[in-house]
Amino acid sequence: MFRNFYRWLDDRFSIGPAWEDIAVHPAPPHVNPKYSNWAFIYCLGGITFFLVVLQILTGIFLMMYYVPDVNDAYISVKYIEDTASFGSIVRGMHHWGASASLVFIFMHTLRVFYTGSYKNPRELNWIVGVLLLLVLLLFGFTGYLLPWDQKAYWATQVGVNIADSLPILGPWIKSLLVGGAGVNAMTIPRFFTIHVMILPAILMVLLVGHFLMIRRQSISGPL
Amino acid sequence: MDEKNEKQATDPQPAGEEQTPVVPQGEMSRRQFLNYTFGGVFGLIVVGMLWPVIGEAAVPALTAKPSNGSGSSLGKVSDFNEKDFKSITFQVPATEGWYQHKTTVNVYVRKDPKWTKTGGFVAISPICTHLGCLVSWEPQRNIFLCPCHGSEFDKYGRVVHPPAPRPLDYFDITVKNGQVILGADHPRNSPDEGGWG
Repeated sequence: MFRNFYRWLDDRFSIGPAWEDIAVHPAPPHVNPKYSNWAFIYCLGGITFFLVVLQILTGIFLMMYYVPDVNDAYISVKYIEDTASFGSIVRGMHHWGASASLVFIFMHTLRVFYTGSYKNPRELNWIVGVLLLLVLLLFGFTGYLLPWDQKAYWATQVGVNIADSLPILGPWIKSLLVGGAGVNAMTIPRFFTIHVMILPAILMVLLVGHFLMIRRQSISGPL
Repeated sequence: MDEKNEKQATDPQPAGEEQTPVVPQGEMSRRQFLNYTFGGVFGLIVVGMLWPVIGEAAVPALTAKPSNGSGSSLGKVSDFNEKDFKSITFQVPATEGWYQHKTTVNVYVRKDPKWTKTGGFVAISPICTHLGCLVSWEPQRNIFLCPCHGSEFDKYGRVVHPPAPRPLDYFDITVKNGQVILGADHPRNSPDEGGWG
């Protein structure tokens, strides 16, 4: 039955070659655990991607209950945590996944650095990777505010005041970020929009570029 | 004229000869005109989309005014002493976008005859000049201590321990009918700028 369905699709879209393009890419021995005990360091980027997918999935389901409003943000998070079935598990996955994805993207960055993989011809992929690191950091910063508890409030206060301390542009950046003179009721929907709309859009574009470039240029050679 | 131009533009020409159609001096070619038109319309559409959305995000954010407790009474003159700061907390109406509520203002007040500029009252804002946390008065050590990064300030709000880059803000104080009235907020820029004299 599945074979017939596959044939039906293949007749129309010729997915065989396309699928081979995506899935079949022989890996060199130095990234194969059969030949090298250190092959696992080449998994760090893939693990980061897995964690990012997990963040998107759990984030979508957290949005079913979370309300980005000054009166409701805290109690909706409390509801997810205390009452909703599996709510504390989904929020726990999102909470720990956020830290884990930063740990792994950082280790991936170190791997690329120590193996010298950022060098010619992969400079542009390194730049996109650094932008991805910044995007993940911004995800963490904007997501931290959303529970609207004491820790969220004061951490954001400190964060936006760091932006404020930039010369000349600082006060502008702070106001545009928080949507007012300081962290206020308008900051929650603003950070929420950045967290669930603007950053995911940027993330997708950068990730596609990151993956297309590595497929085009393939993994860098052994040390 | 137009027909001639079109013919020239589509016909393959021998190498080395002028490829662009003959255009009289001071006039633009049809292609150039269309390029400019398309570019202009495209640009207008992009600006027409971005102008309102950027304005919507930026203008309310940049024009919002912080609410402060200026004009509020902090208590009677006899409520305060020279020895210790009194922490005064009160609520003032605040408007943040569509959200109207009461926000809390916190001021530390102490009498001090040396502090002549604001009527012999030292009124210090507890908002740390480093990254905006709230400092609290430590009576045993005679300092304001910031819980976030350990900045310390003396009884005039001057920095005694970094990382705070400048003194705490002070407020104007006026005394009316025995009531202590809070005035404008004064940021201080130099590390030991005072509020006296």
